[in-house]
Amino acid sequence: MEKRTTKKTFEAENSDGTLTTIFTMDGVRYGLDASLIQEVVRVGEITRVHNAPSDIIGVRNLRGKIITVIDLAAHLGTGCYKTGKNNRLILAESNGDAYGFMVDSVLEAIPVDYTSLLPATGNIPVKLEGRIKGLWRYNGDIVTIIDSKQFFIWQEGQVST
Amino acid sequence: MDDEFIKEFVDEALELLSGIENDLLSIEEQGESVELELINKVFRAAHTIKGGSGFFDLEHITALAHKSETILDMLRTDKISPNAEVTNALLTAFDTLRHLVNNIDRAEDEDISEILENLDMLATESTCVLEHSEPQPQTITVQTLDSLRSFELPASDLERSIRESRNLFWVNLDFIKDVERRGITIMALFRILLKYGEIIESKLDFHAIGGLDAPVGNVLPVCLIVAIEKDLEGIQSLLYTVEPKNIHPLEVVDRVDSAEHAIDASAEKNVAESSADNTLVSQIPQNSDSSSVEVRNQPVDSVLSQPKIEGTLNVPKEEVNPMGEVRLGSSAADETIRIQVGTLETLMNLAGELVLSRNELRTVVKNKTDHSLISAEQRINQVTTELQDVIMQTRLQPVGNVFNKFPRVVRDLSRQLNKQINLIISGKDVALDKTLIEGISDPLMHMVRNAIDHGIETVDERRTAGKSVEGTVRIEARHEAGQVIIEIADDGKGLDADHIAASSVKKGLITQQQADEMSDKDKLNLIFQPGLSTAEKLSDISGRGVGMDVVKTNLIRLGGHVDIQTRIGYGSTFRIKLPLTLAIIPTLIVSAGKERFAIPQANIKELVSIQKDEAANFINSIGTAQVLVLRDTIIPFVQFRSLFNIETDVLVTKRLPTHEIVVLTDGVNTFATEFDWLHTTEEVVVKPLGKRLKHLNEYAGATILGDGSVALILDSNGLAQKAAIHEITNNLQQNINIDEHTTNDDIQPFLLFGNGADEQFAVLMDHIDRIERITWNQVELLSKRRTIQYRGGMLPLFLLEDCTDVKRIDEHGDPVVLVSEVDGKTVGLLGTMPINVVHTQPVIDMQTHRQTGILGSLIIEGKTTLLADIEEIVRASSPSFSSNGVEHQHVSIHAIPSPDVSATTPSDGSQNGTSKQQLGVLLAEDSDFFRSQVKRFISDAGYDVYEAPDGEKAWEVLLANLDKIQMVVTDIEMPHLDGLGLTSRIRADERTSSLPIIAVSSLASDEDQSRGFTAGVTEYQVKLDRAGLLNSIQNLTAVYAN
Repeated sequence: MEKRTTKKTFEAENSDGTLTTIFTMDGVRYGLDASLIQEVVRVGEITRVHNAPSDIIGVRNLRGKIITVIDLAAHLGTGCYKTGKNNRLILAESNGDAYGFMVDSVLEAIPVDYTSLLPATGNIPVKLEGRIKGLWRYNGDIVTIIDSKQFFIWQEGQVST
Repeated sequence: MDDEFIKEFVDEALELLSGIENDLLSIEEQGESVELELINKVFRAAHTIKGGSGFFDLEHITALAHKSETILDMLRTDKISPNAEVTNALLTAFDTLRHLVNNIDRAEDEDISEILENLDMLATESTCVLEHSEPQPQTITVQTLDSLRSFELPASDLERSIRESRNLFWVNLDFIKDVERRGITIMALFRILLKYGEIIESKLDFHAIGGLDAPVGNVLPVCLIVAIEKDLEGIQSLLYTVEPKNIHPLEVVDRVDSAEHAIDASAEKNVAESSADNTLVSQIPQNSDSSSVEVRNQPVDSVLSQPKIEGTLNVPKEEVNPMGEVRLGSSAADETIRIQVGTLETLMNLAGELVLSRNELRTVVKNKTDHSLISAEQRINQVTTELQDVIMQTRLQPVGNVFNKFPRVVRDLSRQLNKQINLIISGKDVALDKTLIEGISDPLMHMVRNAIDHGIETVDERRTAGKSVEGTVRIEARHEAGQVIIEIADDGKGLDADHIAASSVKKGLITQQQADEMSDKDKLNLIFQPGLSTAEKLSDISGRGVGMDVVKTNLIRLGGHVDIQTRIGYGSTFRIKLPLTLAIIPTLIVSAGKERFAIPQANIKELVSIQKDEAANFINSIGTAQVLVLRDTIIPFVQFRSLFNIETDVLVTKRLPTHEIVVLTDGVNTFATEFDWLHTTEEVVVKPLGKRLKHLNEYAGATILGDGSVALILDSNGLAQKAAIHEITNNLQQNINIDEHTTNDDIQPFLLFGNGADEQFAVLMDHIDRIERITWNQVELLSKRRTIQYRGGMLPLFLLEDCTDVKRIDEHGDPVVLVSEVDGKTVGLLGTMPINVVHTQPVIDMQTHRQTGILGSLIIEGKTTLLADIEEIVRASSPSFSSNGVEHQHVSIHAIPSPDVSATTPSDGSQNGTSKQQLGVLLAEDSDFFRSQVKRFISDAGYDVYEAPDGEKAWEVLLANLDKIQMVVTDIEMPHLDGLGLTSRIRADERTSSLPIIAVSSLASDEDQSRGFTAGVTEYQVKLDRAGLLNSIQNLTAVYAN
């Protein structure tokens, strides 16, 4: 129930584009290549890690695995997450580590034709700009599509050695 | 050939090679009087490797192994003496072999000609008596009895076989059918053969595999020439998987001079591989196992040979010799198997998961009343714990794996430095977690090098100092109190504290003023500072000043400690303490604010609970720093919440009645920090934090608690760093002088406490589970019984005055409850502060103050102290307390008046009405105190106890009560005849030889234990571990009753 295996459901319909998971942060819609996402789970119990980098909320247990929970808004430099009942963690792995990215809500996963994206406008925050693939118009909304290649680049001071 | 088979060969070869170095060193050491078996061992290793490499067509390895073998053979036939030159050559040869095996893919590309030449030269030089200059001078032709097949073999091998009266066989086996499909491995097969002889030739015909003529890739012919101490029937039963008709005896035909036949001198060659113009080829018409060229060029031969192979497929199973099967089965299925480390890791992780699930289950079941559920949970609990232990065992490796490197290092270094060194290694069998073994290898190596380079003096220096010319380096591992101790000791010049301090000042590491204020111990610890080397001159051996600090950091990372004991002119000892394992550790769960943390128990020195209103007496400020006054020491006090930026909820913290203080140590620094609550202790599985959190040194990892939430594990070293605590450079550290006596068996920790005014009491620390500080108004009086609320239940409290003739408890004192367990129930003994722990060897007067509830008296810190016995007090105050039906007539056993008591028969023998036959237990123990303690709980469990104060007396008692005594419990250290002597005597006499013997001891090292087991001890138990000892008595009763 708490897992939504978005990828499989849409594979059949995925005829004209990349399956993309749409989620919101601070009322703004974002899209991320669904193949990057392992699953979407409820927030669960998070243990704070004091003295950790500012974008790290804490750690949680997912079926015996320790997952580093990151505030995606802070990670992308757009602010911080808003606590609510729709909060979800988007789980993804990088370099053998498991991460859960906190977002305000996850809406759906649909195919997006990345060739039809509009370029980002010039007034988007610099931090975010580098991570954007483009903008996608959908049902009268604008969805900011995140460049999956830039997704796991930690901001300065966030990278440990 | 499959990678898997090559890998098997590599593993096997490396295992064989691992022991060789030390064997060669022993050979050198033993010189002319060298044991033949030792040479044989090395020879067999070389030989096995040669067999395998021949099979895989690894010519370089084969050649090298062969030449080493030649030298070894000369050694064992006394053609050459094991001098340094020979050993050096062999060491180099085996080093190269190891290198080749390790890089098996490139083995054939390496240039080893120099080493080969060297070996050849050695063989030549030392064999002036022999007529040939080449080590494999000539070949001899052998053939099958029907002369159908012949082989040309090196004369040296054949001579050896003839000398050892071995028979020659040609085994024509099929790898696929005879080996692989039978579920055995070629190396296992080789091993079996090597038990009884040697393999002169092993050859696989690579080119024939999958050749057009081969029956669809199902045949892989292997040609073995074996020299073995078995007759035809013998070898047929050994190799029962091979069809008997494919094993042919061989006979020597003729000597053929190799020079005439231009045979490749590099290795023995099957005659079939000689060039076509070789005259010998004509002698071998049925050469089915020869090179592909021959097979293809002579189709007739192939056709001829094929029916033979196919025929073997139809061998009925009945033909298999059952004897042989047993033999092969037992050899092939060795006691150990190799297993991928990855598999083990996975198993470990799964066990970890299971532990977590178990914890979770436990949390859920705790609130349930369903008995079947609870008992199921208990079973799972037990199995999980055992499983965890067993899996932990699989990760343990003997420390010998590291120690075995040292003889070579010591040998090479001592030569290089012109020092004479005697290396003593003990405790090789002590096992440590694999991670630890890997981690300590380099630090130990460094310390051994240091000991040789800096510690031991040169021969001249030693002579001048009046010491024996030969220095001694001792490396020892042993178990001690759940940890592993590794000591590296030398009898060299010792460390000069002032010299080290001066050197540190010179290098600017400390100021002169700091140096002046330092104690010797602190000065010595300076060697762990980065950038310090005490050597006057830098050498390549050690001492580039990048050593000891790295050693220390590495050891601390492994959870270890290192300290130094040294005496100028007499030597130094480096003592390393390590945990047994790292993966699952016991921790204390604490909380601060809303967060819970786990603290490894190894880092916890002490828990202190301070009443809020008394805080000012204990916690003081020095400038901005806070300190805790703990008895007569002052230690840094760290505010955990501010260190971790944890919000303080004033409303909550205000309500906390006490400051819960944990005194932590990282091996160097001791400091205290405060938490809101101390919860339970829990064994946790350490899980690493993600890469983005790895840099936070204050955390050692994370773990999942019973409720599924994550708790961070605190790292005391990281905490100390975070709190900027530096090494304390004064002598305020706690000074417990028990180390000098730790070898003494009878040292016991006692908990001192107060009761009436001016009276001091003690209990055995082992009997106390917890200490709770309470206030008087927590004590409730319910139906004449005092209780306190404790962990959600009622804890019955007992007072000394309830049953003993002592002063009433001082109601103005601060009450403290000593929580203990009697007959499976938790009870509390009420006493007063202050409490303290002392370690002492009890000299207990068991007469003057003896009464129910008081075992006797002893002098502690100049004060007469009464030793209370909680069990007696509880039973005497509450006769109905015991519930398990055990009779307690023995509660008021009279103390044994004096040690010269010869023997007492069981006090009354009027034991209960149970139908259980009374079992007699002989108890030999010299300390009156321990004897009465142990006697009481054994007899309480319903056994008749026959006691004796030493081994001699015990023997007399035993002989006098042969029909009654069914078990012996003995101390080890006793006058007249000690426990081991007694054990040997019992084992030697046929009247008593089958008695189970339990040895009890306070601290038994592995060596002690193995000595005991050698003498015939059945089991070892800790002296005052009631449950353990009774358990073992009961188990042995059951076992021996059958």
